[in-house]
Formats: sequence, C-alpha cells, structure tokens
Amino acid sequence: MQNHLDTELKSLQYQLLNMGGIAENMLQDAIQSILDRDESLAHRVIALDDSVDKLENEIEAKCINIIARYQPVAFELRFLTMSLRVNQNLERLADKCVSIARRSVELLEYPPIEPFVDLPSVCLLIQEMVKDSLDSLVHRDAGLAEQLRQRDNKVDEIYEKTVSELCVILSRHPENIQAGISILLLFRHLERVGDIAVNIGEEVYYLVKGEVIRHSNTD
Amino acid sequence: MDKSKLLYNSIAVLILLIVLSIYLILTFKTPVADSSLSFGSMKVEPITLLKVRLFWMIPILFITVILSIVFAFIIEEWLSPTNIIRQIIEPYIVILSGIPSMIYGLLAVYHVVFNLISSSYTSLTLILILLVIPTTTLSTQTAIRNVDTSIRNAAYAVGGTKWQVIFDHVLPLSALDILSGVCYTISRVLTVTAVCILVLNLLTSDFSTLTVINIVNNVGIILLLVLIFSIIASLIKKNTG
Amino acid sequence: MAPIIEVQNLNVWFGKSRILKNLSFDIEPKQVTAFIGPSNCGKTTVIRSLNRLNDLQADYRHTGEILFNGKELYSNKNRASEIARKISMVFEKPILFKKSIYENVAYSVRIRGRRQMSLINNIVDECLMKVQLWNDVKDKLHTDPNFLSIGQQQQLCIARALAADPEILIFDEPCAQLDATETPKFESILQSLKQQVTIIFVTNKRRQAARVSDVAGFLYNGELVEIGKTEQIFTTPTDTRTENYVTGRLG
Repeated sequence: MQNHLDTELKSLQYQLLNMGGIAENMLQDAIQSILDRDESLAHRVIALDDSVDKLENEIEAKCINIIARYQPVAFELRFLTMSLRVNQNLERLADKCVSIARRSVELLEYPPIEPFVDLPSVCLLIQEMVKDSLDSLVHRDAGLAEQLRQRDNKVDEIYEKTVSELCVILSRHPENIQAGISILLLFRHLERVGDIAVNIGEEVYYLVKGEVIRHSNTD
Repeated sequence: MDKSKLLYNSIAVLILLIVLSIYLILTFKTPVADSSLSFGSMKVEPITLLKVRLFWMIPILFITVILSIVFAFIIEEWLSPTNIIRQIIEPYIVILSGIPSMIYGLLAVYHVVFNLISSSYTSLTLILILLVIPTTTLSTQTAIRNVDTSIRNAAYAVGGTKWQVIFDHVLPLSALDILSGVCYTISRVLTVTAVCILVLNLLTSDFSTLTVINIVNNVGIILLLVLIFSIIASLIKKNTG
Repeated sequence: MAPIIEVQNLNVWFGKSRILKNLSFDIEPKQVTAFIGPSNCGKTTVIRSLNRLNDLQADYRHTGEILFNGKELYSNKNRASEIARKISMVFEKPILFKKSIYENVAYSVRIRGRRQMSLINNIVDECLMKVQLWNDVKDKLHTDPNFLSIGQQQQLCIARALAADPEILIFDEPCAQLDATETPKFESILQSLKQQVTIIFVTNKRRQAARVSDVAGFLYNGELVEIGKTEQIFTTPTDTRTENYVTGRLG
C-alpha cells in the first residue's frame, strides 16, 4: 500500500512517455524534412534538442530521488533501472534526430539525388520500430519488444546494401562525394535509430520478464 | 544532588530530635497526674471528657485531610524536585509519616492522659495535625506521581493549562489512591485514639470493674473502625508502587 | 513563504549536561520536516523545545532564539499552553485519556473553551475523517478506545492533536510501536495532512524519513550536522557523518 511511491512511479512513467512522444515527433519531423526538403522543419527539430536534454536531466534526477527515498525492490526497482536506461536511449534518439535534421539541411545544398534506395520505406520501417518500442513500454508487451530485434536485422541489411550501392555510385560520379557522405551519414543515423528502438525494447523486456537479452543472439 | 538530600535529611532528623527533647524537658516539670486522678470540681468522668473532646476532633480531622491533599498537590505540581523549599520540607514529611502510630499513641498518652486537665483542644489538634499531615501528604504525593507522565504530556500537548491538566486528568486518575491514603491515615488516627482511651480506661477503673466487656465497650468500636478503614485502604489502592 | 519557525543558535542544557549545541534552522510552512539521527542524539529535545513541553522539566535551560511566526516563542506574552496548542504533538506510544473515543477528541476542543455541541461534533467527525479512522469507529464513538489496534489508537491521537487546531503538528517517533502493515497507512495520513499543517517529525528509521519528508535534518551528538532537501540528504550529503548515517554505517 505504498501510495506515495505509486504516484511517483506513475508520474515518472508519464514524464518518460512524454519524452518518448517528443522524440518520436522529432524523428517524424526530421524524416519529413528530408523527404520534403523542408529547411524550417529541420531547424525546428534542431531547436528542440535543448528541451529534450533538460527533460533527460529531470527524469534522471527523479529516478535517483525515487531510488534514494523509497529504496524500491522487485518490479519497482526494474522499472526504475529501465527508466534510467530508456531515458538515456530517448535522449540519444533525440540527438540522432538532430543529426538527421542537420544532414537534411546539408543535403539541401545539393540537387535532389535519384533515390537509389527506397528512402521513404526505410524511414517508415524505422518510425514504426520506434513507435512499437514505445508502445511496448506503454503496454508492458514483452513480445512486441522482442520482435523489434528481428526487424532491426532487416534495417541492418538495408543499410549494408545501401553502403555498397553508394560505393558503386560514388566511384562512378566522384564529383558527388560530399552529398554521398551526407547520405551515408544519414543512413548511419537511421540505422542507429533502429538500434535505439531495439535497446528500448530490450529494456522493456527486462522490465516485464526480468531477463537481460541485450547480449544474447537474435536467432 | 544526593549530597544535598542527605544534608537536608540529617538537618530534619536533628531538628525533630531537638524539638522532641525540648518538649519533653518543658513538660517533664509539670505535675503528672497520679493514677487516682481526682477531678475535684469536674463532675464529668475523665473518659467521657476525652471522648467528647475526641468527637470534636472530627471536623478538624476533615479539614486537615483536605489541607494536606492540597499541600501535596502544591508540592508535586508547583515545586520542582530541585526547589529548595521542597527539599527542605520533604524530609520532615517522610520522617514523620514513617514513625509508627504506636509512638504517636505514646506521645498522646503522655500528653493527653497524664495532662488531661491542662490539655486543651489546641494540644489535641496539634497532635492530630502531626499525625495526619505527613501521612496524607506522602500518600497523596505518591498517588500523583503514579499518574503516568505521558498522560500529562498528552494533555499539555493539546493545549491544556496546568489547572485543566490537574482537574481533568491527574485528580481523577489519582483519586482512588488518594482516598486509600486518607483511609489509611484515619485508621492511624483511630489507633492512637484507641490507645488513649484504653490507657485512660485502665488508669481510672477500679480493678473490680475492669472487665473485658468494659474495655470492649470503650475501644472495641474504634478498633473495629481501624480494621474497616485499613481494609478499605488496601482494597481501593490501585498501584502498590 | 516565510519560515514558520526560525531557530538561531539554540543550546539546551539539562542540569549540567549540554544536549543541543548551536542549532540553527528554519522550518517552512506546509512541509514535512524530519529529524533523523541515532538514539540519544537530541532529536526529541529539539522538538520538545519547539512546543515548550521542555518547560515541564525542572532543570531545563536554553539559550538562543526560537521564533514562531516571527515572534519569540519563549517570551512571557505567550502562554505555554497556547503554544502547546498551536504546536501540537503526538507521542511515540499512543496515549489515550481514559474516556470514550468521542471524548478523547472532543477534549482538545473543550479545553479551548468551545462548548457548543454541534461545533464539537463537527470537529470530532472532521478530525476522525482526516486521520482515516472515521469508517472504523463511526458506530462506536462512545465506547472505550481500548479495543482499537495500536495503529488505530495512534490515529486517534493524531485526531485529538488535530482537534486542537494546531499550526504545526509534531510527531515523536510515531511509528516505533506500529507494525509493518500499519506504517504505510500512517505515512499516507501524514502526506494528506501536509496540505493543512506543517509537520515536524522525528524518527530513527532513515528509510521512513526518506519516504515521507520534504526536508530532512541529521542530528548527531546534539549537533545539527546537516539540514536540507530530503533528496539532497539522501543522494548527495555534504558531511561524511551524514553519508555514513544514511548509508547505515553509523548508528
């Protein structure tokens, strides 16, 4: 009947999901800015970075306070350690979104490149992964969380395929090297976003099942 | 702390001894009535005279008891244990109440019986006061002290004044113990009375009329009262501490 | 908000032994302030100095300044009983008067000189509700409180203290006698009371202080080693003694 701890945990979860929502919107906007070549959208994403950093600090302080004051155990302890890590991952996710937005600004200097891969579909895949990772947190859905790892494999495949294709294209058109590097970095960021979604999923799995699956094989 | 207590105690013992010896020296010279006790002009029988006088002591006894209860409350509630007045007074109370009632009986016999004519109501009253105040005060003090300090604290903590705390909590909680002390004192007083009457009875009677019935007639009822009061005292006493 | 109690250089002696050494702290209104520390460190003396209950001790003596709402607490203008009412107290053991449940609570109202039955009834009901005892006793208001569990008796004591309409409520190790199942209930009552009164409480259970308080002060050997936000005391204490105490290495 630890009423007070319960309310603290609830407000922590609320804050965490709020931050997740902001990060998700940032990702959406960053991707949109690339697809639509929209500079103002990209700048808006970059501007949000500070507020997310502030949120991260807040949540971290809150977690530490709750641990210090209530010394939680069992599920509550798992929830708090998960919150700490998810918090960190969300901040990284926001950082990646900012990086994506920066690439998007850079790419505006170059003419639109012939899409050699299906960029929108990759973006969609990534976005869904992030969304599902947050959903798994809301619903405490370990199955959904675990499933993210398989989906990340697909993203990795696409990434590698893109890198090799990009090499081929750039060797043919070396004058596009700068744009090429930006695109390479962009894909690298997107791939990292996928990893972050997987990390969040692993934390949720730990929360629900109490097992660490971070370093086990996906197969 | 302990040293000063010892000092005050020994001073009290000394003073009491001095007072007692002065009294004995002063009264020793007065002619002691012989056993035949000729009363001359007095037409009353000495034993009746004593009984009448003792009967008139009852209201004084009542007043003295009330006074000593008040006295005990003043000492316990208003004078702190470190208070110099309290430190000086307390040894007298303890010593005087510790003296067995038989000693008081002897004193009374010496004073009342052998100097019956010269002994006025004043001297009777003095002995009564000496007998009642220490015991009643001491037992009342113990009764007050036996009231849990936490109750007191709780009453103060919700904003009770000293008077409210005393009347609402201390007095009701210690009432039975105080009453028991009073009963005990009364039984002490009655014992002394019985001793007085018995001695006077022995002295004034002819040996022919000195029968068991005579003695029982004179002191039996008092001894019965002594018994009743001491039983009541022990029955209503809550704490033996 | 201005602090409700300001203490400056408080020193307390009992006889010749010095119990408190140079304490200075403020207590903010409508907050829970906890004093923690090992036993015999002077915690109880601190709070008893605040509501003048120490006046009852013969050899009590203090120097320094205690301001209550900006006014000197120990000045002769304040009657000790009035201070004790405004700064009411709940003790370690539940102390109940030998009266019915209703009379126990009503007593605090009556000694204030309020006699109207309807007013007393209202206050009694309200106070019993505030301490979450109403549902347990509403049918048995005029019975002896001895049938209540220790925890419920303690709740009744809180209700009685509340009925005195205090500005500050002091708890002296209020959970020492409660068992584990009753403690969370007590803590939730404490949290709900926080909105109306300032709460000061003393405990030697550091975890409880961590859970319940907003501000925590650590006392050690009569010194106020550290006072600050509870989070700060329990995450980044500045004094090594505090660190050792909150981690359980001391006392």
